[in-house]
Amino acid sequence: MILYALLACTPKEEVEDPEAHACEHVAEAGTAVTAGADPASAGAISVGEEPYTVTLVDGAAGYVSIAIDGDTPALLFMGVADVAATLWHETEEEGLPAPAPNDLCPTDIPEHYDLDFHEAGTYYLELGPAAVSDVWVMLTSAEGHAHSEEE
Amino acid sequence: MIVLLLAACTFAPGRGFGTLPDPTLHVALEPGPARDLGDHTLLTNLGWEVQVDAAGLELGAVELQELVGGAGGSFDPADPPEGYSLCHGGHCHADDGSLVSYAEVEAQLAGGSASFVAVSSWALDAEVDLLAGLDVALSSVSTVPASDISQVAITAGRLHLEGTARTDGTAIPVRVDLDLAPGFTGGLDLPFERGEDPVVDLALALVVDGTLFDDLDFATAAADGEVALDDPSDPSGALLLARLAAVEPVSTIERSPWSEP
Repeated sequence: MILYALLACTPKEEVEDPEAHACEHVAEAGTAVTAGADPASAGAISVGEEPYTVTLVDGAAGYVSIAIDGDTPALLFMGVADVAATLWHETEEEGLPAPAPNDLCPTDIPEHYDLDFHEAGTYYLELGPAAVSDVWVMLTSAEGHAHSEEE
Repeated sequence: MIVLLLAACTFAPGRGFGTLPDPTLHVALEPGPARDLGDHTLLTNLGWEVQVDAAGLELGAVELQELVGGAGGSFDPADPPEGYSLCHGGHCHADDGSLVSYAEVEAQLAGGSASFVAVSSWALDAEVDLLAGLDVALSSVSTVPASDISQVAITAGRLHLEGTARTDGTAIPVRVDLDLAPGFTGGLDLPFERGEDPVVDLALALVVDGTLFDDLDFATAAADGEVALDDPSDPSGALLLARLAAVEPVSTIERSPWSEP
């Protein structure tokens, strides 16, 4: 009871959980991006609020690029499990942490990765090879996602 | 689909705080859409296509366990203990990159003074055909004692698998014979105590996915015209064992109050 009272007194702050935000947008195709067969030809995605549908390279690994300005904690959501292979910072492989389902919609988003783009530069997400032709991807800030009162 | 009624359930003595009327267990090799090439063929991350002709997994028992003994094992997921970070959804990220269940973190914090003890258990004692899959109706548990079940454990024996790995016109027979003992564990949050709805629909699943042979270069591992993964000290055998050790039983839990008479 006391806890409820304290919560009720907390200043109202409309910040949406990134996991909830991803679930809300999982049915949207978002922006179409084509993975490149090598980093030089990688299509670009960015940390933001909108999803992407990435067309994969047939039968081989493909790459999408992510331009980062500075230390950026982020959440990578994947619509299909076991497609994300590794993460590169420029030419150095950083790898990916162990994935976990999105707790709020695990069927639609079977994987998310907690990432820390720790320094500025171009990162490359390696995808595949996979038995699917495309994959839904969202890359959001881990800081939370604010909605305005009007939304 | 095979449906078995297992009547070997046991539970620890104690006061009844709930019931498990229809627990189930699903076991299978399910590649998932990203790795499923059809006809029981897995696509690995190195581009190998592994057609699995047979896969049998020896399973012993299923146990719902609680952590008993020790002190200081609990922790606040919002303030992870040293060595862990980003705790949510029943898991923490360990510094070595692995996902660790809350139950395992608590056991580690409690040191050697705590251990997982079975609250309910079911005997399986069968070799499961992973290609056909197995759906087991476990026997109901009418009286679950007051407990804080935080882990499901499925004891396992050997994995036998036969298949063929192919890439670029090369085909290499693959044979797996490895001991997976003690088996598989996964976290779950299933307290039986006052304030919790006592009737629990519990569905357990043990799924080996399509990443089973990831990072395995069959060309390098081949000897005498085949890849024999039967030695846990061999790098390829150890790699496969590590993959299998990461397989966790998962649970789906739905709670409800006692039904009205």
